[in-house]
Amino acid sequence: MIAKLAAVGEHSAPVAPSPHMTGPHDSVDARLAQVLREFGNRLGALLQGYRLDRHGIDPADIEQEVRIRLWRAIERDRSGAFHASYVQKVVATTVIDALRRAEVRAAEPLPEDDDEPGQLPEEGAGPEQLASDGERMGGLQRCLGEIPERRRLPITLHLQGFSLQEIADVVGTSAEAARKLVSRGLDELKSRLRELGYGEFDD
Amino acid sequence: MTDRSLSSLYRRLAAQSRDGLGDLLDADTLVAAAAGSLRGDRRDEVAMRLARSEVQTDLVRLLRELAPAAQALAGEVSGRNVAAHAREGRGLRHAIRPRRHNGLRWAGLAACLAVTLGAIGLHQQRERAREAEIATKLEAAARPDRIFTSVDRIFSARIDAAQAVGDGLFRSDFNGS
Repeated sequence: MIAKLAAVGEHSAPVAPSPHMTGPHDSVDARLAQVLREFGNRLGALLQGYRLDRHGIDPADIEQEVRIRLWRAIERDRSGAFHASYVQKVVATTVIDALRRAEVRAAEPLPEDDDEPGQLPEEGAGPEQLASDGERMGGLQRCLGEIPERRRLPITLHLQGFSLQEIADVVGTSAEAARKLVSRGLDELKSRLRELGYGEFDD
Repeated sequence: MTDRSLSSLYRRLAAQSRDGLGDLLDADTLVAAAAGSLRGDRRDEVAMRLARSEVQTDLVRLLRELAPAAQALAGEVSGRNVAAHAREGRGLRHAIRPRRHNGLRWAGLAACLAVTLGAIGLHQQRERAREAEIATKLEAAARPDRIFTSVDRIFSARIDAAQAVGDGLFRSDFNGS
């Protein structure tokens, strides 16, 4: 029993043992634990692939938390259908909770430690570079603001990293229509930036 | 070196203008955005907020890629729940089955059958009695028509005799009286 719970949340999962998990249905539960483990592994890989740790959250913690929440939900309601959208919602809620916790942590002041050597500022863009970036960002913001919203939304989603099919699903159009909107919109955006003297840009 | 990538520039711009995580969408909306099932009236608003937030963009894309695995897990859990239900249902039927009172059950069934047959017989008997009563009434009501009888006034001998006198108007000796 303990081994099975440990398998569900590989770290020490605070899940109470259930009477349903004993007896002749152990094989069914073992199969479910296996599927849950596979789901967790897939989630972990995606969390790492999208580098969500950039936002101050630990993918391993998220993965474990999702497994525990799902296992609790499965044990709580054994009567009806279990929907994929519910599984997705558990993942989304767990990530959002972790992001909020990370934000609170970031807002708290770090403890002062005189023994530690002071951190040197990271090597990065110099003042000139920063000024140039700021200027170009201002130009980009201005040019985007001049483009009608119907075309601006697909462009900004594209620049944020959405694929054409994803843009189509979010905006509510076909992938082909999304492709045209993005293509024409980017051309228009680059043209405006060029006219304002910001030069040529890649996608 | 100047970064000439629009995507990179836009993401930095979005990150700069973002005011913390206050603009986070709720989990249901993010799941709907990933599944492409957003309500029509929310599409523009959600698209705008996603376009401003790199982390939410990542989360929506992650959920989209996770969908097949979520479907597989949900299918497995639903299958297990259905199987558990069937087992519990069978157990319940076994539990309530009266094994030691088979004789009593057959006697009860026979009594029910007898009562039913008796009720049908009684009903049929009543029907027959009612039909006989109706037949008797009909027989009593079947008397000869008065119109075509010899006592009918129209065709009686006295009227014929009166008409045989003839109309005065067409007689040659009619004088108006």
